[in-house]
Amino acid sequence: MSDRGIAGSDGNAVAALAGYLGPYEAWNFGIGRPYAFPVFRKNDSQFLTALAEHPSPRRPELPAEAAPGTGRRVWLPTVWGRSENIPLRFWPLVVENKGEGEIGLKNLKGDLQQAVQSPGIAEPRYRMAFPVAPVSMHEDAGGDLADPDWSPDPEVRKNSQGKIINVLAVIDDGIPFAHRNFRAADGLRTRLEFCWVQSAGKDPDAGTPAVLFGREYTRDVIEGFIRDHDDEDALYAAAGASSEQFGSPAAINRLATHGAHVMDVAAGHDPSRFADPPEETRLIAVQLPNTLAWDTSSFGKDMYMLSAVHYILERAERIAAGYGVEDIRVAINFSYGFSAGRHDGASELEAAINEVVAKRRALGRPTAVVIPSGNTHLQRLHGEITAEDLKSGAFEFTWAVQPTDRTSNYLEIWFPAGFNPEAFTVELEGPFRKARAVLKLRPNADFEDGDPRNFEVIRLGSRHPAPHVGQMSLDNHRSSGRWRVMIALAPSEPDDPDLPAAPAGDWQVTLRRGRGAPVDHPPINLWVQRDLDLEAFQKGSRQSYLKDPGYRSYNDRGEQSQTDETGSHVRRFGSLNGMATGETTLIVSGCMPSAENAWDPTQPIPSHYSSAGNLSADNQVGTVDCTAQADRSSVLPGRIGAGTRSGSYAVVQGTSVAAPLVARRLSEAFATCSKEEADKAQKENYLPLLTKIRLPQDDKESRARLGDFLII
Amino acid sequence: MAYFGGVGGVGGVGGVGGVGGVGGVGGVGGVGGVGNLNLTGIGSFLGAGAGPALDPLTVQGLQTSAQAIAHAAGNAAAHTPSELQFSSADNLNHWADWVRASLYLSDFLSELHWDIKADPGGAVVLSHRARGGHAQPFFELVRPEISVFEEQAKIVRSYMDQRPERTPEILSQLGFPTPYFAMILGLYPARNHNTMELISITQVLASHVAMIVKHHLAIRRPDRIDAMVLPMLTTPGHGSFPSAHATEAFSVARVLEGLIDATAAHYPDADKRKKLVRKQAERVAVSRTVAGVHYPVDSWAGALLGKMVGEIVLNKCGVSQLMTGLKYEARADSDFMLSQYRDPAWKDHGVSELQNCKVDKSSLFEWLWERAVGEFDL
Repeated sequence: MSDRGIAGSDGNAVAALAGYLGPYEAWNFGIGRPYAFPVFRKNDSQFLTALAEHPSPRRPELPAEAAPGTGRRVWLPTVWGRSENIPLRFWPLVVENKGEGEIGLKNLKGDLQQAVQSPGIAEPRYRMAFPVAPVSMHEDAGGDLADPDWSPDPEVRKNSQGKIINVLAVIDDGIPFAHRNFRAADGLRTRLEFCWVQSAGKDPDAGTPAVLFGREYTRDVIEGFIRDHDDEDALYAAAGASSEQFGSPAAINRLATHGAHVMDVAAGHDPSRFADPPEETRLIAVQLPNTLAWDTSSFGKDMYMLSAVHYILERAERIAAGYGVEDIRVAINFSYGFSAGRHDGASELEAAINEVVAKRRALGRPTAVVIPSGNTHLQRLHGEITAEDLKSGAFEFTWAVQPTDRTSNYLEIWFPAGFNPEAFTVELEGPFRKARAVLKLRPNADFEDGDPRNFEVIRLGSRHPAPHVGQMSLDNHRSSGRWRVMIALAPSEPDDPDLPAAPAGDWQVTLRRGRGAPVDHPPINLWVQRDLDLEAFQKGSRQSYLKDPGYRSYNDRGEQSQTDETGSHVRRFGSLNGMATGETTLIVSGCMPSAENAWDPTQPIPSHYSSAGNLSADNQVGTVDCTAQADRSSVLPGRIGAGTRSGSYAVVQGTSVAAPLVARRLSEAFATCSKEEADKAQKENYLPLLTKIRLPQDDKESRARLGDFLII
Repeated sequence: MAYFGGVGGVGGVGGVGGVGGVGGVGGVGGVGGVGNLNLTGIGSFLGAGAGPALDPLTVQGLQTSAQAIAHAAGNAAAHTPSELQFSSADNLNHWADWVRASLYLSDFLSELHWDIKADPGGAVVLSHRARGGHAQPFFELVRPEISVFEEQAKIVRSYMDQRPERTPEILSQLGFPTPYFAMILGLYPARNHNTMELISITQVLASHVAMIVKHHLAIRRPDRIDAMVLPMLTTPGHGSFPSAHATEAFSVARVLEGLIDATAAHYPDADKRKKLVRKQAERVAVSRTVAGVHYPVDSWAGALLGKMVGEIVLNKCGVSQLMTGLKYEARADSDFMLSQYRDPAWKDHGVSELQNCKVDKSSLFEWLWERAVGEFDL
């Protein structure tokens, strides 16, 4: 089958790309491509990002500049541990696409194997993802990126007497790197040592680049811009940070961004305060591409995110060398998340971050990653199917898809660890029986390489050829014994009105047990993928959800119910951020003072949206470690923090703005604690180092949502 | 996650009710601090200071009472009445606001001339010619090819995502954005009514000049050449190029810069205020692109024209007598930014200089200027 054929021909092979790249890739590069991020639709991306997972750790030898025989080039961005030759299983990559005007997925996959695989080692696995814009890509970068043009600030040692120099980093969107709140007390020097704007156009004057794509701003460069410009609009324009990409205007031109607010909570210092900012905490920031504007489900950014973590750790070692600090301590805030995923710490991105953090910790270098618990507690995106629910042999539930939704929708069904669902089937029926599909949960032997899997196309109506409006898939995720069913549906109102639409309304999903299947097992989990749209990005996404008459949104007192009552498979508990279940991450929920406690800040209640792990004793889903304030009160939503321009403020709400407060307190602890204290606190992700208020332990639900501690 | 506009959140800004037909000429208050809805034209001068048009009952009552009381005045001789000064600006104080506005406008327009060049692609040349003097060109605006605007429409679209956050500004700046400048200088109507009059007349002059140029250049609005612009306002009933909002805002900014210089002792931070006045003018201009009714090159043309109008006003006020004329040839890839709006950066955007132009002072404008400056004593 030719690459071109993937998008054009019929049959289940259509959905199941010849090479395994995961069900999201299969949809977004395959039959779902006409509905995907506009750049994918055009099929002409020259550079694609990818995440490679090797069966065992390998050293960071650069892939040959061109894969032998293919002429296809592969690049490695800035990676931590390269100079120390540290072997890792997960590697971020950029690959050249030469699909003759199309994203040549099949050929690309073959070439990737030739290019990256060492002889005699089992086949690596890939996640393919968003492209890098040609204006951002240093395609002439050879095997080695240059060292950044950076030197330590001679004032810092003097101004941080008695403190331990450490690094605080933020990964986010719309980073205002010249903002006064990130400067030193004199207002001229910045505390931000490195800022990498991943989607900026490359520096036209750069000789040998220090980053593979986008643009890096070192402290000297930022200070130069600050000196040259009072007008910050002009500053960001001159810095090349405010041009649009892939049709998305730069977030930095807006009055407020998520990243400006988060970074202010983490590291901002209002110059009107009396205390001087802590110069011992050196800052690094990475601005992700305008991800919300690119895709509302979170698909496609893994490589950008992993390379952000690598970049921070690599530059942190340079800061350590520059200031003469041994085993420099690094705290990273990553206020990001999605609702689906396996929720056991072993998703690709979590495993990849976990690997590099664990390696660094093993070298005696404290490394903390702070992640919010998520905002989907009341959004009906999570459910559990228990053995009891399946007693009759089948369980039927409703997945509600909204009208005028211009983006794809995804539902994931995850089976418990070690549970083989091969005797099960999943049946899907669209509203008014407009579409129907059945997937046997048994791997199809026709797919030779890659993880065991199966695919089924969802067709509209019964005419021939019936148009495709979705895809059902089964896969043994990362061949780890966690089986997943993923259902992808086309938008209910595609941007191109000539494309078939998935009908909006109630989609009935039936999980049917066949003969010989186990009847006693832990719950089977449901997660609907987030479909987030911020008004301004105008992507037109509408969140699908699990619909159940037994789910009570309001309790007998007329309040929005915060607890799960028996009688519904739709659950609030267990809706934890799919990226917040890893072993080396510190998970922060959001809370607020409440009227019932006379607004005592030390007796908070959970913010109504703040997600939590589930309540069962054998919690597969992970837990909240601690909480921090995310709302001023039930009537004053959100926290106040910086907008993008010096002196501007905005209110942003969500667990995203609680996490960075914890990262801030961690950096303060890192500045003073002893090596022994840091080492000892490591296995609890440094929570013991924080000044904290112990919360009551008696209420199981409150404890699941707030964790054991309040950080203020 | 959720974002809220500013601190405290911006409540939805309801649509502005139809400010359609202008009502009668009832007694409108002074010019100061009128909130400006949809009126540019002669703006808040419309009817300002006019006496009330009396209702028929009162008119009849006045007549009957006149007959009834007249006998009581007696027959004693009156003394000779004193006269007002002949042809003197000092009399302006006696006239209604709208009359002064009419005089300023007539004074200004009597010295403004425009020449239309058909070749090669069309241009408008504005000149200043005092009575008995010769025409001195001070602004030349070349009509861009339509391809320039096709390219510009792409930049217009890239500003669309700022609509939610700029909606309050855009809707409250449909007319003259006087409060947005008053904020920076801390102007108060009771104290600063002459300054308000200076701002208002500058905007009126700028608006009239812009309309002349727009009429001849006749450029279609962005929504007429690109279906995806989808403006959030009713597209105004005049051409796109130059932007009258930019002309007005930058003429006011230029005059206020002069005023701040003339009252330097009043503010401890005069330089900051001048920067903010310019920045506000930029924001007013760019907000019209955000709204989807102007191309960035419209702002360029308007901002340059506004600078010229502002300098003519300053010259008439007696602040200086010389100004350097400007010529603008729009570039397709040019976005409008304050940082580029100066020599030499603006050369890359198609701005070049004409000869110097001399503008004499006018007793009318001098009268107003003196009083406006007098409002900034310590």
